Amino acid sequence: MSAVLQDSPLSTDIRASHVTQDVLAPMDARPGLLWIIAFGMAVMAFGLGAISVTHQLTHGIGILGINNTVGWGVYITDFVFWVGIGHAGTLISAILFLFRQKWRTAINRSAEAMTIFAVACAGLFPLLHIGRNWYAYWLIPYPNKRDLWVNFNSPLLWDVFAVSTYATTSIIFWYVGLIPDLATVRDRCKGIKRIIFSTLSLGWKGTGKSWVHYERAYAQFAWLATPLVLSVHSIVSFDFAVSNLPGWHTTIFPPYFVAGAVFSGFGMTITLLVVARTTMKLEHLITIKHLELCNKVILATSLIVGLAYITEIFVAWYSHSYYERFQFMDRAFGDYAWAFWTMMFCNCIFPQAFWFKSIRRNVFIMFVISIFINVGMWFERFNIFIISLHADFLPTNWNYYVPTFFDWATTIGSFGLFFILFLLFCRVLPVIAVAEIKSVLPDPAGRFTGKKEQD
Amino acid sequence: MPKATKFVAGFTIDPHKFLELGDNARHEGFKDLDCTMPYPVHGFEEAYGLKGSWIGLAALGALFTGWAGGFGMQAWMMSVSYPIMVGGKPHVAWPAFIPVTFECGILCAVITTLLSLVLASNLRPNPFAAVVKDRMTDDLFSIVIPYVNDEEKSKAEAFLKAQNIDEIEVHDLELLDPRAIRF
Repeated sequence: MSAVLQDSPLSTDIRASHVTQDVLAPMDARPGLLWIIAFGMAVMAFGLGAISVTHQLTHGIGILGINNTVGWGVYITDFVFWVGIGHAGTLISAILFLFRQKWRTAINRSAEAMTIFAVACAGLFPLLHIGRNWYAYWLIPYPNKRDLWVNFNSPLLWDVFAVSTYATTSIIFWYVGLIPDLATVRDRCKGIKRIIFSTLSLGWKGTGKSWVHYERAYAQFAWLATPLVLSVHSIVSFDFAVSNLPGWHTTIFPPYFVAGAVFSGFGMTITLLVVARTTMKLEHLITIKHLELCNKVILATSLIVGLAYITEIFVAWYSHSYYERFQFMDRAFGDYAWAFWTMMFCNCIFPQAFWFKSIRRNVFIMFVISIFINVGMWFERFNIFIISLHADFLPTNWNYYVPTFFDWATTIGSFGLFFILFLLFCRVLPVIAVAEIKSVLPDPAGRFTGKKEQD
Repeated sequence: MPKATKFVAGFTIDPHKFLELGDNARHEGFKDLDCTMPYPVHGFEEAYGLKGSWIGLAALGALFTGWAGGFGMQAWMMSVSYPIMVGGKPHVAWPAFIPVTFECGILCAVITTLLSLVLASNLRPNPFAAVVKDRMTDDLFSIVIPYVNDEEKSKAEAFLKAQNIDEIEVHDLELLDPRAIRF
């Protein structure tokens, strides 16, 4: 048994009723100034994105930076970035659950919420990217007058199934996890709020018989979500790996994308948790120990991602393929070298600071590094897509892709949407899984009573 | 024997005591025990003699059905309904069908698990749901002993008194039973 399982990250002084009170307190209080400022900024960012999208819908995708050579630009970068962010939530809620990692209980709810909001942002981009957005439903196989079906040999269609299954599963997993907590909220409020939470908690009463079914269903979701989360980013990587383009056509892509997704997801988790625990005064429940464990995951996945980068370069050299070699030389020393080295420093160099315990436990430094990771992982996708495309097989086609104002505005808008949803979530729902964290509270004698730890 | 609709309930905030109560009650010969918990405590199923859930089996069935359905859908659409040659591959290019087949299975299993949970625990949107004590979803555990006549009721009360627990209450309404939720 690992040390992680033996040491509780929580103090033995905390009682179940304290947890309820502490987690639900922000839902009763008025929003703080910091929250209002953050929400205002998110609304403005979203507004900018909404204007940009409206302009695009009325004028067409010609307003974007994409051209004949670089057909996949910032929108596809954003899509893969957001799908990747979503992966940490499922990893924390499903995979760490199956490995009986009790520290997950403090952070799984917010990470799952992050997943859903990130997938919502991700889903927008392919829909915006297709030229005639009003025909987006053609992506779904449905009986139609043209007697046509979608092409199941295309990885782009696999993506439609993967991302929509992932979104559905994440929402269900999150909601089922919320039910006992919604009942807790219901039983401590009155009036219209009680009616709303009573409806949302689906009449949950916490009887032994319903807990038996609930526990089975929850474990079932975890078992199903685990291969699903690994499959989703693998399938996203097939969008590229199945093509013949140098820089994309590599078998390393599925594990490389999955590791990158976990890495970026944990980066965003740290960004959000640091803000959430500070602004909502939850330092005793989301402890430094929790953040330190996340930072260890970041360090491990940073190394995996770094290894993948080096492996790609090695294989390009070892393959003796002229085009492969050119591709990686172009990435490191070509027109977009600035993007390549930004990625390298943000993803492989800065996270190495987490080898030092004092840095893993320093909230300010980890917050700064997490921002670097978010930036670095965005640029990883930018490098893969844009640099592989911009210098194609015919030098006459070579092109320097520059995103336009509308590319950036929509990207900023997606961040606005993400933070609007997350900030609202922090206000109206329990940000920590109350019932789950109670089950890992040590009693005064240091014994655990919770189910998930002793299995 | 008529189904019990009345209960004697004993309350405690100590999870260890709560498990002990279940064990003791079973050894005293009480049948059809139930309990309420604000959060699941390790070993409650054994302590209260609760049967396992059938949800796993339903999900497994749905997983295989989804896989078969997903593959069948693609094979039929690509080879029977509208056969079209893509990139010189066979109509039923099965390796290309694996991702969608897999996702269909997972989607079916997830939705089935959700519906099974809703059915098994009788979850319904109910604007006026209530528990006997509000703390039952916070930190209060309870043992629920059903009775059908006064003799059983006194036996249950005597048992709970002997257990030295915080509170004992008698209820003749099925408030503790999720099936009793009224619309």
